[in-house]
Amino acid sequence: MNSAETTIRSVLAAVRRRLGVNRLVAALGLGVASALAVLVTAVVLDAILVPTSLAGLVLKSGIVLAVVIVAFAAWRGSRPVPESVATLEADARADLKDTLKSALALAPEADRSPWVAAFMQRAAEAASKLDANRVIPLVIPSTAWVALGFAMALVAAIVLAPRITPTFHDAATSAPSPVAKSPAAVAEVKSLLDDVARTGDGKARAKLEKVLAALERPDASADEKRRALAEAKSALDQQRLETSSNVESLQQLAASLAGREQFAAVAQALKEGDAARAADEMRKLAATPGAARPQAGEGGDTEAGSKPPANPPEGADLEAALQSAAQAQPDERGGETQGKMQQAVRGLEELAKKLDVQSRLNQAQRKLNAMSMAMNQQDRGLRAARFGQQEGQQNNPGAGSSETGNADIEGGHMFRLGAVAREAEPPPGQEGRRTGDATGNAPGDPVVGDEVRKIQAKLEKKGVRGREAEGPDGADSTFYAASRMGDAKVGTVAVQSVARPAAENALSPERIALRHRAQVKGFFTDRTETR
Amino acid sequence: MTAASVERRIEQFQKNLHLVRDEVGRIIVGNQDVVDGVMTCLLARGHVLLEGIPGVGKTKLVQTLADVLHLKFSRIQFTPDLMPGDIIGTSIVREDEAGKKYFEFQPGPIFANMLLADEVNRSTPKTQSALLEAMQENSVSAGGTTRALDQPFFVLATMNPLEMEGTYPLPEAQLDRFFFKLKMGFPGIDQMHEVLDRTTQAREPKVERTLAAGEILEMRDTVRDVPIARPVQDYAIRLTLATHPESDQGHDLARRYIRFGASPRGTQALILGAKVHALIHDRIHVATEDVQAVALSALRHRILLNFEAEADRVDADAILTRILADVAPAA
Repeated sequence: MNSAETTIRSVLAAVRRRLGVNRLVAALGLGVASALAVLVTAVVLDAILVPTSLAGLVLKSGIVLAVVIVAFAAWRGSRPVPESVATLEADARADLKDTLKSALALAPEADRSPWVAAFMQRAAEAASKLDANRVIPLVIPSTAWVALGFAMALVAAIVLAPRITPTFHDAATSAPSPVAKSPAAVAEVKSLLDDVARTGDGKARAKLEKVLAALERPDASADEKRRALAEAKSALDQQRLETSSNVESLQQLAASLAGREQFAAVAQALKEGDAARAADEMRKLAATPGAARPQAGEGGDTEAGSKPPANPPEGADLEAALQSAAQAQPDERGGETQGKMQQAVRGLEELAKKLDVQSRLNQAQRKLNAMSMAMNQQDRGLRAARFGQQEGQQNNPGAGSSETGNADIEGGHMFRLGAVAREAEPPPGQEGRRTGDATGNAPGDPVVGDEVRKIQAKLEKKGVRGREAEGPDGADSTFYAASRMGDAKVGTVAVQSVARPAAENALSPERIALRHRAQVKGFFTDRTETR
Repeated sequence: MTAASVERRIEQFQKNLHLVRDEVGRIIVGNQDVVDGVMTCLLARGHVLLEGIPGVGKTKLVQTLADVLHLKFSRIQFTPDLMPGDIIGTSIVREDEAGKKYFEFQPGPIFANMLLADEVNRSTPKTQSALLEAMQENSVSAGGTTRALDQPFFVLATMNPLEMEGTYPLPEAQLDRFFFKLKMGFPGIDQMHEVLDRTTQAREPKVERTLAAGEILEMRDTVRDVPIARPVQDYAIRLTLATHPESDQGHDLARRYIRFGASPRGTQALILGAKVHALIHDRIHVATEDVQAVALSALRHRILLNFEAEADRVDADAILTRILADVAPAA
């Protein structure tokens, strides 16, 4: 290696170092910016996922990923810059016109050719004048500014993270959460269990005990708790049916006492569903002097036949007891009648107790419904809009109806069709039908058959040029003609691509290929007189 | 030869070149790139094809150069009835003092150092071939004898691109023998004022003879000695290959618009032209920039466009410009 080459290589080494610094800064800028972006995302996600077990994992993963990115960027940036790259950069930035590149390539021939030797001397002179620090200045890459922006965003995210969490979970936590407040749910189910025990429904009790076990289990997931609450609801549904049946039986009892003035107060209380008041009224009747003549051995114990049964009458027995008590005339009422009345009083008191328990069960079921809904909201992370949608669905369970047209029941659509077919003509005063809109607002049936198109040609009034003013009203000189709108319609023809040039050339009648027609036309139109 | 002597030769080359350029500049206004192109062809032992509309100074340029270079100049106006003998020369019967008859060769106008072949595409291919053979071989064959042409032998052929009727366009193989194809454009307003001032007054400027044939031959040798690095040579080769539609390195535009790419003679022209360009700019090594500077002149007449290019009105210069922009220099 001669002195010229040594000079050139030392200058190139300085250039390489300088380029290496710039490359490292650029790579680190990009890496740090990316890592900060990852960290910002991780902090925000962590704040959002605080109530779940993923929160810490996301933050840790983000930190690890950021470290990996920075390490990779540092490794990439610290790789040595190739000499060819440094040569190109130096030649380009110092406007040396490939001097250094040619010098490195021609250096081995310097001893053999005086021309190459002379060139190497010139190249060495040029290289010695080259100041690497001036030619390759340190550059702050644009990614550094991006990294700065992300750093500020990271600080903001860290500061605001505690505020993000409650805001994000506001909708879910506003409703009472059975998951967060499991003891409340457990207490509710325990009180339900006591009530159900009083009704004597063993099946419902067993189900509620299962629910209680599920709620009290510490490792039970939210899904399991939700399922347990659903089971509790289904168990209570049966109780609700029985309540309806008891209320209905009160109505029947009231109907059976209709027309008997002495029992009017009892019938009224039964009609209003107040079994306790009915029992009181019944007891008053039984205690009325003359109305009840106690037998020897007060308390109904004088006759074995009139001895009241150990169990209070229910259902048909209670109705029969009431009927027989009502049919007996006041002056004819003996010990048997008194016994029947007392039997009816006991039956009514028992019924009143059941209704009272069932009323509390209904309240408990409503609470359970609220708890179940709140749990669904929390688990699904409902937002305001979706919450409203969910609310609407809860309040409007699918109910098929021939009147509303809602077909959300099995066979609903056919049910509606049948209702439409069966409905008779509406009376004159009624506007529309119950099964559908007959006021003309319903959309028309789809057109079946050929497509209907608008007429393309239009008629327009025209006159003969220069004779428009002729005639008193111009009728003689004007006429109607098809407008140009119709005439301007141009049919389009699909052009098939032809693979073979010969066939392509034969496409047009002039034996000129379509693709060449523009050139041929241009030839004739651009032609000038040269002869 | 030492490095110092090399520097002296380069210094002499620069001095001679500037003398010629200054003298030519006294007659020819503007078109400095054309003057440099013509000088490049002369120094690279090539011939030049000049294209331009009538009256822009093609013939004047050649005459001026011949005057400045102190070379024997001749001009042939090519016409359809021009015969090869009219160019090369012919053998005539002579009689000596003893009455004996013999053939004597009368050299034609081709026996000159600078030959202006005006409107070369107006003569028949047979006549064109006679000229082009002489350009390639630097010798002519007449009467069974091969006669070498004087050196330097430099042909400047002109073509008028407007009137194409009754012409015989040069085949691509013959166009390839021209080192450069230069286009003379219409001068600008300021240049036109200068032209009118110089040519419409009582006295027209005169030029002095500055260089002799020997000095030109020495300059030619200097050009050949300029070293070129392998990466730059590689760039010139890749530029040439980019014009080949069938090549792996062919450019997309070449595949679409070019029928045949530039020949190896085109690459030679690129390298030699780049060497002269480097010397003109006081460098003793060829840079990528030198290759790019001469690429259009060296390659534009060596690529044969297809019909698609003519239909789309794409010319060779547009394609080469794109190729120059897309082919990256070697590291």
